[in-house]
Amino acid sequence: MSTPKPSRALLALSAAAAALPGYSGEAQAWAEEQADAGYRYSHYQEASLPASATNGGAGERYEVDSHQFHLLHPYGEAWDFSADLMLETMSGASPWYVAPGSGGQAIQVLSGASIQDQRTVLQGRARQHLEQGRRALSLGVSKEDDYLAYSGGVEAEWDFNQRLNTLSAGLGYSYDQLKPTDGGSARFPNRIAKADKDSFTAYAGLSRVLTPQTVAQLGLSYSYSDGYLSDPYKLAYVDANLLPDSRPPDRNQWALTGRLRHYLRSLQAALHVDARYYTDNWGVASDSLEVAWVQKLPSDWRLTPSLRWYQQGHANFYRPYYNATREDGFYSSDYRLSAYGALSGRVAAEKSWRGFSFSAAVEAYQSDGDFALRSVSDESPGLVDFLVVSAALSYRWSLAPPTPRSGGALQPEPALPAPVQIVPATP
Amino acid sequence: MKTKSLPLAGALLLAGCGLQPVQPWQREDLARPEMAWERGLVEEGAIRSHTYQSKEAAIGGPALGGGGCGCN
Repeated sequence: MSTPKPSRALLALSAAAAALPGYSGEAQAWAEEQADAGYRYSHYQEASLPASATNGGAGERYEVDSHQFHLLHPYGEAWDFSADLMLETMSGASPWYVAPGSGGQAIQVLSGASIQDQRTVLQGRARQHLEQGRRALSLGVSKEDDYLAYSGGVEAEWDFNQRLNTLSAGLGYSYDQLKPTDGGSARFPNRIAKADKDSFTAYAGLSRVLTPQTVAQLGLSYSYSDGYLSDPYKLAYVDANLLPDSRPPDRNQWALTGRLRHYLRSLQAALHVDARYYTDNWGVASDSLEVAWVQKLPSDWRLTPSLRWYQQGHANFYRPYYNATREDGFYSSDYRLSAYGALSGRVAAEKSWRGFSFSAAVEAYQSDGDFALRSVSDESPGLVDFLVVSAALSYRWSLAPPTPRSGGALQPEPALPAPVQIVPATP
Repeated sequence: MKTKSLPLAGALLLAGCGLQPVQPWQREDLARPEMAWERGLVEEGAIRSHTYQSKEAAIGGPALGGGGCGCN
């Protein structure tokens, strides 16, 4: 049964009206029954550690090659399905433990053997478009040589107040299983052979159109993890002994996020501001702020420079190394739990041509205790600096045939009544 | 004190107190691709979040992440 196709003006209006948080971009695609497919390649390269911070020589670190494949396809008038496949190859050395040097300075010891691992992630999502919102179900699996994770989630968005506001919420669960390489072997008798964890995530967000050029969103997310949360490959130097990395078996994580988008008509550019405050029951608190400038250029080019700043305090059981045992038995010298700050700069260029879009980006990330606002006294010697280069290609095509017009001539569009009823592009 | 009042100020801002409602025909600029919450092609936001989350202690945001580690 064929359905009358809405006029181009109505499609444009519906797409514009649907341009709300979590929805813009894909909104137009859905309104026009478009599918898209794409591929992205990324190369992640960590900088070597300086010889002064390691146990001799420049510390070669990690690199990752990632291939991402994406497909989104509408089905009927209310559904779309998307699938994402990621293949990653990881190699290099990883921080192992930190020991005191002759002058008491912290020295990072890297894993001697080069790590080789592959990661495959497959995620699928089914989404239903409703008159006043959307709801979606997603499932995923991630597999590495020593790691297997199953995840699933439900998400919903509800537009109200003439689509000036959107309320969004989601619930997710992940079951992760670890089987560390050489776990329980004669060489590594203290390394666990097998462990698992459960993670639950919930979030809610509220967005609001503030002006014809400004939209903002506030979000709150909570995550609870239970099980083995330590790093099976890392050790801690405790009073001249090397003990396994040991962290509390549960973690409560909270994040408050704020996002703003503002369009500057005279410059044909958009200002993006993303901020987050994070805290958890391990004593870590962090702040991050990212500012991006999305500049439209002639011939469908777009240039986006962005700057991101991040800082965190250390976990309450973290030390670079320990001169005495702790009563609670928790030890970790993982640089991720150290206090530090980080700055990263990024530039992305994108070009659209007919249904094709191409983009290339480079990002440089540097971390240092001096980038934090608070003074950092026990900074890890293993803080990471990295460079990411990536390129992506995508193609979007329309599934709906061109709108037939009676009489072959364009009809004048009817005047819009006030207040306007927002009519979905497809009933 | 200052930090605690920020969420409240943000909530009031989002509630749109004192703002004129933006009519549907005024939303052309909001629908521009430059205004999308997530920038970039082919799940760019997903891999960027994954990279930060595997190197920093913090996680969280108004979206569900996938499982997995990839975190050496």
